[in-house]
Amino acid sequence: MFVRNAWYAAGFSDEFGQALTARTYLCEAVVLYRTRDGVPVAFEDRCAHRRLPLSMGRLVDDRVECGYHGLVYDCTGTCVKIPGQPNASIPPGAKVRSYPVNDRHGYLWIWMGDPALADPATIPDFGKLEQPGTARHRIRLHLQCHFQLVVDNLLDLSHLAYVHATTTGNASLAEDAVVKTVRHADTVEIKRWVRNVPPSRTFVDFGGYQGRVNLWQVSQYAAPTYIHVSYGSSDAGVPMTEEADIWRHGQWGFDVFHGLTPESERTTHQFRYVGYDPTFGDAAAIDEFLRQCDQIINEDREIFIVQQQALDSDPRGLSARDVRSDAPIHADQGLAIARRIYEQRLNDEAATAGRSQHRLAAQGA
Amino acid sequence: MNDRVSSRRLCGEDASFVRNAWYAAAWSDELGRDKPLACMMLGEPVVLYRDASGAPVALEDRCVHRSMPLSLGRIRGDLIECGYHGLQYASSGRCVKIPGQPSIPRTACIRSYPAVEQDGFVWVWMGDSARADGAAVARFPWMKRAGWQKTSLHAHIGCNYQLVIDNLLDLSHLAFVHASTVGSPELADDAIVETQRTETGVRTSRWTLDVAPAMTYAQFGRYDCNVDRWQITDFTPPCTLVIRNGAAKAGTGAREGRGEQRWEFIVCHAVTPETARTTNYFWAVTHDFGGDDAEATAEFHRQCHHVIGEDIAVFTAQQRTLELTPNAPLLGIRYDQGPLQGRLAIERLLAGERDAAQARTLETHVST
Repeated sequence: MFVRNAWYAAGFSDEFGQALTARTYLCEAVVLYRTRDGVPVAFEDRCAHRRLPLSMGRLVDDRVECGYHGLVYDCTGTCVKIPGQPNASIPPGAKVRSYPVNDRHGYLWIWMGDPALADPATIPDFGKLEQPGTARHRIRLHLQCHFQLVVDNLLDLSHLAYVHATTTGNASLAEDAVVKTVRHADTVEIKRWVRNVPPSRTFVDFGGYQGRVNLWQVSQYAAPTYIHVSYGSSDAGVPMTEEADIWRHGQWGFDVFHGLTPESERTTHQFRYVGYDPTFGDAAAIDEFLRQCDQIINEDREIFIVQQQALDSDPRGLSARDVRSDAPIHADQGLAIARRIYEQRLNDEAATAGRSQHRLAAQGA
Repeated sequence: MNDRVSSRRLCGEDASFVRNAWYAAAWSDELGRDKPLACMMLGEPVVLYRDASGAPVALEDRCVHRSMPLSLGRIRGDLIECGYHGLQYASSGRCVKIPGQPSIPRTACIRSYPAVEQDGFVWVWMGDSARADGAAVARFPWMKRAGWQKTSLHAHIGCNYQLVIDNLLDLSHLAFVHASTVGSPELADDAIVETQRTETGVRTSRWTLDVAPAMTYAQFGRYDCNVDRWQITDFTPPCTLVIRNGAAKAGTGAREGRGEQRWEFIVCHAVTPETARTTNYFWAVTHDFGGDDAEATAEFHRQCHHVIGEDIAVFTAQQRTLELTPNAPLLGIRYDQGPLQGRLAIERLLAGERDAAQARTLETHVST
């Protein structure tokens, strides 16, 4: 079960062009393409006739021709041609579900719920990626795990000390950090900082520190699956206050944005952008920085795989969402709030769906 | 039969199969004397082997002792021996030896299925043995006809068998799935299609007149002119089809049985449900041309295998989508007449078997 009334990252905008791309989101198979004018199109990836995925067909003049019996669909998902029969005889119900899509901040966003509720104003604000002077680096992963495990991971960055010890991690991030968790309506923000500690490798390599440093990370979660993590640092000698510094990168830092889209109950699409100021070093330094960023995400991926395997082999038949830590630790606070926010959205959707069914039933009577 | 019933069946939620029928279990040359062959049919595990005379035997693939598949055992003369504790079974299914004990319980018996061999296939009867008539096996005489050549395939496909039969009863799909070989646009846009019930099942005839030959036809039929082309599918429910495909020079009376420069090949299909979601597919293309040109024949066969590979990709993709969207309605189109009649023919057989079972239940009821 997933929150459906939300914009999900379908992919990076330039992954979609005048060719048919098949992807599955929230257990629904979707075919995506762009018209010759560049307008993005997404509809159900199945022919209404014999259910061949339309992505196995051809794009002809901005329309999709099924690869089995040649039915043609326009960009609203309406069938406009059935070979061997006159157009007047096409049944009015001959269409497949189409999904609202929108390009923003380098992503193509898709709305998987009730199209009437699709408001582009609710696309998450990843605008920092588009600020002048910001360079972007991206990676797309197909994760063998429930999306909740990824959200959990990104909202408790104490794991850097153990999983990413050779790059951004540092024992003091787990041992000595001050953590402050604040919930706003549909979002939660987790700030974590340490003062006067030895810098971890990434900060030595690219921040140019000689001695001890202050480090901070701010994770922001917005329902259902939007995550922005900001990393910053300064010399230990520089006085650091939460209010003044934590929103900036200090002397050196970077931003990470995650578009997480559940594919199924056991698989997740991860579309990640790293936003950084490219003036910190030469091309070789930047290459090495980006290599470290990709190493980090692959280290996390290995963890997700074995976590999901452990869940799948649990005799109680658990899903990632059922799992509350058997031993809640202090650092779980933020992700526990995020889970509650998500639950609330799920419940609200179920209630809305229940009400509209009730209304339909009443109208029927 | 409404949409919902058919969707449920295709997704494997309702695993109804016609049982009183001969189903293809293997190509003859897949079955030897050296080891038994495991072969799940209609959701039942079956083991095949040849007895000492070479005749095919089909038994339940399960030792009554510890449920070990007998297909993991050995052939001993006319018997099959379990690979676990050495119990031996005769072709009747009766256990005739239990190592280390003189007495064999009367219950030590597994199901035996009638099996026959014909036209290069091993056929197994999955229903009431008393009704198995070897003369009723589907015939494919071209498989072993003198002067004829063939190429064949046994494919295991991740789909319900109905999807294969649907495919073969609507050959408009050649225009889209097989556009680079046997397909051409007119097959979908301008075909004259007739579907009729026949004595044995359903026939769909498609004629496209005065059209440019599809690539394969131009190449091997050696046409430098337009052709009249036919595709005649004969379906014998529940599981066999013969398709005659051919062409002749346009306007030379092909539809009336004449036609100049006729070129034809015949495709034999046996479609055997393994489970509700998987199928064993036996396919052979037979033809009497090309005896003089081995290289051209090899290329023709390569194109045929390319075509069947394209179909198999369609079937598996359809099945995946069906299981993702089991409740989505299916759109009916004009060319569905063939597949629809095919489904109804299977449905009639199923209904007949249900009625017979009900009648038996009633009889039992009355007599007790």
